[in-house]
Formats: sequence, structure tokens, C-alpha cells
Amino acid sequence: MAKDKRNYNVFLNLHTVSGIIITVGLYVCFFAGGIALFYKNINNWEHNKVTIIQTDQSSIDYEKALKVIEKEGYILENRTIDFTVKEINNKNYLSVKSIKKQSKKGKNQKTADLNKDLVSFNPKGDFELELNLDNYSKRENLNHTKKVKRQGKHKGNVSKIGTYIYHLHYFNQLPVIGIYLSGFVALFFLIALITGVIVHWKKIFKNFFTFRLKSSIKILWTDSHTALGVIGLPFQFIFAITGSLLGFVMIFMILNITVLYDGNKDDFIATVVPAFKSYKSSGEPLERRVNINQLATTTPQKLHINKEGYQLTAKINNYKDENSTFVMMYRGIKEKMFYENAHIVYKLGNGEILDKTAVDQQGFNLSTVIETVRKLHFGSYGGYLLKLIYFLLSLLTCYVILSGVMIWIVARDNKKYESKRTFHTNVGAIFIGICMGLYPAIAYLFCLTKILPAQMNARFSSIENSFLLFWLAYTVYAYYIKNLHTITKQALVLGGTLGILVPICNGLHSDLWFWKSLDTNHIDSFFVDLIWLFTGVITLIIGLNTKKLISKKSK
Amino acid sequence: MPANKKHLLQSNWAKASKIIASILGAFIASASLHLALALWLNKEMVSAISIVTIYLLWALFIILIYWLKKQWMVWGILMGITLVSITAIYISK
Repeated sequence: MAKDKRNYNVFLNLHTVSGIIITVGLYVCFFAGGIALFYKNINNWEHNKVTIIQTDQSSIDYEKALKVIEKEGYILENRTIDFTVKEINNKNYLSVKSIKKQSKKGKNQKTADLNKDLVSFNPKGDFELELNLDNYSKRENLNHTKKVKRQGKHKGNVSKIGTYIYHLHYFNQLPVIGIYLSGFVALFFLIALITGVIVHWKKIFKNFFTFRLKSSIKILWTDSHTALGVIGLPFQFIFAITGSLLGFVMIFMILNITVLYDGNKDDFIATVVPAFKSYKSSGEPLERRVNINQLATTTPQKLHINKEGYQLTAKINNYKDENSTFVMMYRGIKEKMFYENAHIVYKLGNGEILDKTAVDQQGFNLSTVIETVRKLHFGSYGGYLLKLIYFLLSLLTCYVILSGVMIWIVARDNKKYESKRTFHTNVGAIFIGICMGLYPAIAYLFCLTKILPAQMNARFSSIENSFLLFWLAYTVYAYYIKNLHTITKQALVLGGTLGILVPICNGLHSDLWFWKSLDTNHIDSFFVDLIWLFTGVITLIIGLNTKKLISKKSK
Repeated sequence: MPANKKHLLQSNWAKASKIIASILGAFIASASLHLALALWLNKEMVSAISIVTIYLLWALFIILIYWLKKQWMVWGILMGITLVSITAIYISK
């Protein structure tokens, strides 16, 4: 029927256009994202960290910590104090932090003052101390100036390559618009998925096992594109939705706050994340207060927490004020948990419970949905096997993206599109150059961190710039040679050799050769080294042995 | 395999209007519909579900825009949904 034909063509056009526009962005998202699944392990590999056990956080003595801080001369009135267990130089410490929030205006000047405060240990100002867990004595912080060096607008500590690759994955390197761009990419990906399913609908079951490898080249790419696309469909669908959600989360929050809560941000936070609710100080000093340690020890039983694997963050709001509160937030971080967050809010004056959410009493609200989305997106609910499956599926998606580009090029490789031939070859060369060039560039990044000396000036930005230059250089080289087969083959060979060099660089730099690292409990070093060795060898073998695809017509 | 051009729109105005309608218009329609629903029904639950369905609905609207042949029908549907939602929001305030 004419109508069917028209529909098919409309959806095919939509699928093609939305696919081609987002090719590069989506490939970077999935490739960098797949690697970023393991970003903590990569960070540990980079800094040669030993895997240490989590301390039992229920035995923290808050009263003693507060006494120690007051003895140091800090004024604690009306302050918000955060307690977390932090790991520094392979040992656990209790980190006690109180930093007043800076206003947006004049931020640069205020951060300069903040730096000065931390550096000179101004007793009246903000503080961030680490206490030993056995005797609560202060840890001597010798390289304090280095620690407060601002890393620019990036969230999190960007001087680690694991975190850098994670930021690459949602384009955080581009100021301001980066994350929205990734949201758009995810949205167009969603469109491409839905239209792709519509286009392929009639043949989904019929062609599921069709792999016509000996027919024409176009049919080869098409069959692999559709078959692998169908297999990866649920996974890609999850990422299309969670990706666009996380990319546009700012807009979503702003909309919700202005319309649903009449611009009242505190109300919104109180409903969505009750643990972070801010309580106004009443201005009256506190007469007597309950022993915080008593509250802390009875909390796990009240929240029905009876096993290990939670990360605890404790917070005191408006200390020494009438309205001061003690908040304990538990976050289930052990890999097998899906959603087990809990929190409790005590009033410090009389120990009364103001708000409580036990582990098995989750409601259905925005915070639970957002947390579920995060779990699905980061694959943190199933241990390393799940992350491996996510990683393999993301590589599969990268292949689907590239084969889509190949179909687009090969389908236009005939006389009808002669006028646009240069355009098509150029676009093809650039896209494949960028995509395939990312693999050797990342291997190069890993090698660089182990080659450059640690005391170098501006170390991380030179690593970053070198990585980007390498990637750009490969793209320009790809544009120059234009032959897609050669581009791919050389990228694989280059990536393979650099990948094999990674464990060698690690061994030369830190003497943690992979046959030694398992014994000394450097588990992350061992696995990252081994995986690079393995993938490097495989890609090298594949790269050296690929033969050019010759279509039957030209034989 | 590339889509047969004769089935698609020809004029440049039509193409531009479709692109704007799809990205901006579909977003406004989808978001306003969800906000109106959130105000008329249980705020928390709709707010929670909408976090996922806003994007789904946005994508479906974009596909709808390209599927329909007549341009005015497209703008009509989007505007219609937006206006209804905005009046609903206004009423409930």
C-alpha cells in the first residue's frame, strides 16, 4: 500500500538522520561510559592503592571527636558538621568537616579566602580535619596547600584518569553545555531506537538468525546491525532513558520547583530528599543535649539494618542551637543491594526522632526513583559480573553504531549519489577516525600517567591536553587517508601495541609488575594490568590479520 | 535502502518548522502535560513517574511530528496539549 510505503520511508529517514547526527557523541558516551564503569578501580590502579577493608562505622565516638575539635580551638556554634570515614594513603580516618556554603556572587574571591583559612588553620573559620580512628588524635596534614588547590569547575577530583574518563562520558569537558549535549544525544538515541524498531518490526523474528555473510557488503552490515541491535535493545533502551534523565536533570528540577512547589526550593528538598532538609536555627542556645554516641548505637536497630555494607554519613545541623539536629544517612553500597537507603533525624535537645525512613519502608517517591535510575545506569547492583556484562553490551552498542555508519556510506556508494561522493567519504572518514581513534588515545592516556613524573608542574592538564591532541591527530590522519579499512586496521594495531605497553609502563614506574601485585594486595593494579594486556594482544592479532572486504560485484 | 525522497517533505520552511516543533515544542508539550497531571493528581507519585515518562513522551511526540503529513495538524496537536495543560495549571493555583 502507498501509505505503508510512505510510513516506512518516513521512519527510515527519521532513524537515519537521528542516527547520523549523534554518531560520534553516542559512540564516545558508550565507549567511555563502558570504561568508566570501572573508574574506581582505574583510580586505584593509577595511585597504586591497596585494597583495604571497610571499618565498622557503628563504633565511631562522636563525642570524643567533638571534644578534640573544640580543644583545637574551633568555634562550633551554629555550624553544620559532617562526619565521614575517608581513606587517605591506604588508611582509614574519620573526616570531620565544616565548611560554610559560599554564595554564588563573588565566588572567586570567597574561595580564595577559604583557601587561606584552610591553609593557615584559622581557628575561627571553616575546618576539615582527619582524626585517627583509634585515639582520635589529629592527623598531621603536611601537604595541606597541595590539597586545597582548586581544580576548576569540575566536580569531583579530576586529577585521576578514571574520573576523567567518567567526565568524558557526559562531555563535562565542554563548559556548561556539555551535560545538556549528552542529554540531547540520549534523546535522539531514544528516537533512533523507537524508529529502528518500527522499521524492522515485520522482520524482527523472521530475520533474527539471518547472517548473510557471503552476500553483498551492504547486506553484511545490515544484518549485523539489525541482529546485534535487537539483542542489545533492552540495554540500550535503559540507557537512552536514564541517560536523557541524568543529562537533563537540572531542567527537570527547575521545572518541578517553579511549578509544583511555587519556587520554594527548601520545600522541594524536604519532600524529595528528607535527609538533607535544612532546619532554621532558632537563635536560642541549647541547654542540655543527649549523648550522640547513644543515639548512634541504637540507630541501626531502629532502621532495621542488620548487615554490613552500608556507607554512613553523619551530620550535625546548627550545633549548640535549640533546633540542632543529628542526621544519620545510610547508603547501601555493597554491590548486591538494589535499593537500601535509610536515614534518621534526631533532635539533639531531647533525642526525639523527627524523621525516619527504615531500610524496608521505602515509599514510592522522587528520591527512590532517582536512586533506582542511578543504579540501573551505573550497574552498581550486581557486582563485577554485572559490570562486565554492561561493558560487553556497551561494546556491542558501539559496534551497532559503527555498522550503522557503514550502512549509510555503502548505501550511498553508487552512481545516484555521485554528486555528493566527496561529502560522504569525508564524513565517513571523520566519523570512523574519531570513533576508532578513541581506543588508542585511551591506551595512550593510561601509559602517560605512568610515564610522567609525579612532581611535574601542571601534570594533569598536560596529560589531558596530550590525550586530546593525540585523539585529534588521529582524526586528522584519518581524514587524510580516507580509506576506512586502513583507518580501522591501524587504529586496532596502534591501540593493541599501546595496550600491551600499559602494564609494562606500570611495572617500570612503580615496580608493581602484575605477577607481584596480587601478592601485595594491589588487586586493582593486577586486574587493570591484566585486562590491558589481554585486550592489547587480541586487538593486535585482529588488527594485523584483517583483510579488506571485497564486494562480490567487483571480483 | 536510503529513504525515497519523494515521500518526504520538500520545502525548506516545512523542514525548519518540523525541527523547531520537534525539539522545543514537543518538550514544552510533554513537560506541561506532566506538570498539569502532577498538580491535579497526587503530586509525589506523578512527579516520580514523570521523571521517566517525560523523555519517553518527548521522543514519541517527535516521532509523531514526522509521521503526520499535514503541518498544521502537527502544530495543532502540540499547541492543543500545551494550552490545555497550562490552563489546568493556572486553574489549580
